[in-house]
Formats: sequence, C-alpha cells, structure tokens
Amino acid sequence: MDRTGYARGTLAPRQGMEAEVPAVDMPVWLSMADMMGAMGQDGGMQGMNHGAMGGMQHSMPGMSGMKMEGMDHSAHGMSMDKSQPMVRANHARTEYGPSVDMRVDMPRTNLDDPGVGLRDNGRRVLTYADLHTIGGPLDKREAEREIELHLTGNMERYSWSLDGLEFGRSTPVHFRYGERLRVVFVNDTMMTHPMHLHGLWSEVENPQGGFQVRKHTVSVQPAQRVSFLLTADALGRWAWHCHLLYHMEAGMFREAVVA
Amino acid sequence: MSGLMPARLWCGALVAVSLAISFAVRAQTPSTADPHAGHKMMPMPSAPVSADAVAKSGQRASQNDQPMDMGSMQGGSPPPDARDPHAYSDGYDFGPYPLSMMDSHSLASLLVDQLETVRGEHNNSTAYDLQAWYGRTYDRAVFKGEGDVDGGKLAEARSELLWSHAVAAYWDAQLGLRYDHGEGPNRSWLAFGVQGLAPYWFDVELTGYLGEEGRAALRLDSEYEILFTQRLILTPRVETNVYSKGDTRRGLGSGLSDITAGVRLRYEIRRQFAPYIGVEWAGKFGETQDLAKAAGENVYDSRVVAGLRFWF
Repeated sequence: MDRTGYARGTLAPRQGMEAEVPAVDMPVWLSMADMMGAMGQDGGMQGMNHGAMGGMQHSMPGMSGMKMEGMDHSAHGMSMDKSQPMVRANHARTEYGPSVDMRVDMPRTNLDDPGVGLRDNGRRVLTYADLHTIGGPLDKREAEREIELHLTGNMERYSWSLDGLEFGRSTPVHFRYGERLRVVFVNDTMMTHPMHLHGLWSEVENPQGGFQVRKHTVSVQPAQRVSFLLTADALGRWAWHCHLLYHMEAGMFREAVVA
Repeated sequence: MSGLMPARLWCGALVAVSLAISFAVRAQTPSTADPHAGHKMMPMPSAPVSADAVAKSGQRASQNDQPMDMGSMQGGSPPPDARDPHAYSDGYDFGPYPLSMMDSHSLASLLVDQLETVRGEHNNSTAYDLQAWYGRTYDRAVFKGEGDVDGGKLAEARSELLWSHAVAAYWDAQLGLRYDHGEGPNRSWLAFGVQGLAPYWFDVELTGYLGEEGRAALRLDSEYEILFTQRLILTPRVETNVYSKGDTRRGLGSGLSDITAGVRLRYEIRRQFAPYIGVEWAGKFGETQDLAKAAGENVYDSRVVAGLRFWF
C-alpha cells in the first residue's frame, strides 16, 4: 500500500493545543490473507506480513494458474481458528470473464482485523469486533432466505462491479416487502469496499452468526466475507453501492427494489 | 556510443522477446485445461508462491482433498453450479428511465508514449508512438500510430485503426486496418492480434497482418516498467517485425526484418506528463539487411533519445 500523504485533526478541550504528529507508518505489502482469504491465513491473523509476499506481487497477473501449492495447512500445523468457520464462496457465472481479475474461493470471516496498513502498528485500532449495538437487532426474526453478492473488479481495466457486472449490465436486486433476509458479501478484490445500502438497516453478524452491529454502510476488507441481516420494511427503489465514489461511478452499484 | 552498448542491448532484446512470447503463450494455456480441476496442495510453506512454480503444478486431486481445493483465481469458465447474477431480480428491471453511471458512457484517452528527438550515429530525426481509444470498458476503437520524421518529411509511419474487444482479464483481441505511409509506396493491411498484460507485468502487443499481393507480417512490441519510485520509471522496450514476402520498394525483405530495443527513463512530474531520456538500438536483419546494404544504408544504429510522454 502506497503512502502519499496524511491528514491531521486535533480534538482538544481548548484552542491551540496540539499533540505531536506521529511519524508516517511504513508502507506495507498486502498479505496472503488479503488476496486468498482463509487460504492465506496463517494461524489466525498473526504474522501477516510474511516474506512470501515478495513473490506474490509479481505473480498477480498470472494468478490464472494459481493453485496454491505450498499451502497445505494440515501438514504444517497452520491451524484454522475453529471459531471462524470457513465457508466456500459461491461465484456468479459472470465472474469468469474479462471483468474480474481475482476470485477468492475461501474468504476469511474474522471481524477483528484492523485492515491493510493498520495491523501491528503499536496502536489500538478499533474494528467491527469492537462495535456492539445495544439492544440487539431491530427485528428478532431469522432470515427467510439468503443472497450472496461478490465485490469484484479488474484493476487493469479500471472496472469495478458486483458479481462481475457493472451497474450498466446489471439487474435490480429484489427484496420482498416485509421479509427478513441475509446478505452475504464476499470481497473478490484487494481493496476494502464500504458498501452502503440506502433506505434499510444492515445488521452485521459476527462469524458465529450472532448479532454484532447495526450499520448503514458495511465495510468489507480484501478477501473477506461479511454477512448481515436486513428487514425490507421500506418500499421503493434504493441505491446500493461502494462508497468510494470512483468505484460507484465505475459500476460497483446495484439498485435494490423493495416491493 | 561505445561498441559494447549495442551488443548488450541486443542480448537484452532477445531475452525480452523470448520471455514475452513464452509468457504470452503460457497465459493462454490455463483455459485449455479444466480450470476447475482440484489441485493437490504440496507442502512448501515458506517458499514464495511464484507464477512460475504455479504454472508447473497441475496435479489432479482426489475427492477427499475437496475442502482445501482452490479453483483458479481468474478467468476460466464457470462451473455448472455458478450463481446466476440476475436471479435476485425476480424479473424487475430499471423501467423506462434507467440511471446510468460512468460504466455505460463512452470515454476517450490519448497516450503519447513517445514523442522524441533521436540522435543516431548516422542520422537525427523526430519520432512518435501513440495510442488513442474511444469507447467503453470491453469494446473500444483504438488508434495506434508510430513514425519517424526526418528533415521535415515523414520517413516511415504505421497507422492502425482497430476494434479492441476484451477477451480475458488482461487481454484484448483486436481487429482492424493498418496503413503504412512515408517513403516508398503506401501499403494497406488487415490487422488482427492481441494486446494485454502478460504474467510478470509485460505489456505485450502481438499483431498479424495480411496485405496486398499476398503479403503477411507479424509485429511484436513488448515493454516493461521498472518503478524506482512512484515517479522515476525505467521502461525497457523491444519491437520486432517479420514479413512473409519482400517489398523492395519499401526496403523490406522476407523473414525477420528489424529489431528495435531501448530503455527510457522518465520522470512523472505529473502522472500525465513525463519527460524522459533513453538509449535505443535498432538493427536490420536478413534480406532487409541485404537491401539496406545494397542501397548504401547503415544496418545497425545506436541512438540517444530525449522526449516527452503524456496522456489525458
């Protein structure tokens, strides 16, 4: 990850107070877990910046042949955290064409990762695992059904999409009025995408399926799987998009129809 | 220019060409195999996972390896149980006034990759190499132009107008026309080829041509970017032309005709604007070399170049 600058703000009880400006963090490489999800995880999220990354960067365009040799977890005691179940991603058929430069088959599900560039920096970084909405979900019902949407892109073509389809090639996502359903996001890219669903609450689940936090915008880290429940209680046509506005404009955008 | 430099560049050129070809070929191979075949995990935990090592793997896994299998990470063809991305719509569409984002708009771009003054051992000239496109992400019209201006006169120029269609994550297929002008009679060609990014980040253009009087030609252009910093970038580049049939009036013989290899070091004052300096070596070979010798021309040339790269 490149470092091109920073912004600074000061919260203080009176004017003129200023804290020392910390040194800019060192640039970091993306880790295996950022590209391969659970397959790249190394006994949880510790020691993420291992040396294997040097080879990864230059092999990215050749990942069509990536078969993960050398990733036999069982043979090398790379224990998977049992509290974070592995779930195989279900790719859309439109993710196998020119619009997608990466697919993650086994996404990671942990919510306690500070994310690229904020790991192991000596500071406490808040994550979704630290966020709990008091009072639980607004709607106690279980999900009646589940839909899976993949966050996709092709960085060589400057194209961003969902399920490999930019908005212009997509169709709306229909929520039946009043239903309770689960949405599963899988991030098949190397960037974090803050996904904003207008009009409806997104109630994020923890990896074990319990209620975690109620949000408007759900950030999904590289190679991560995040699920949330929603109640389709607001009739109408709603925008649903990545809040990096360039990604939205490039096509990482869906219309949600509650009807 | 010392005599040593051309020899070094020449070797570099051959290596780059052969690498580019082998990677371009390899990039196509996964689609011929079953991309969803399971693959056994080999124990080798700390070694970097290189594309090279990966390309050599290809063992089929037995059923009990299933939970740890990874499919390929891009391209391929969808498995039978792949999701239908339109299934969630339940038949809803955007109605008579659909919203349109940038992905539905046609955009345009011009990249003047080289606009330079060339100081050769035997001659000085001005050269250009540019590419422009108009269209959308997966289908665009592409214009490619390359040429030399010598003494205020167009000495040699190639212009191509192509339809470029995305066929894989990093590759476009192209079809169109090429027009050669400058000195000698003008020539028209039907052009078809691929342009894209080969593994290890080689930018590759490989184009075949069919011309008048049964002529055929092949052109390979490959370049690589080495980023010393985000702004200071070294670009080795190799270009070569092969012709099936001589065209003496344009000084071309059949077979391998010419190779140009160079390195350019640019500084991006802004992303869109970068002055550069470089060295380049050009040679004529085979029958083309014979024709040049017969005409009293030089067959090898080392050059120093300085110019501007810009795009918008």
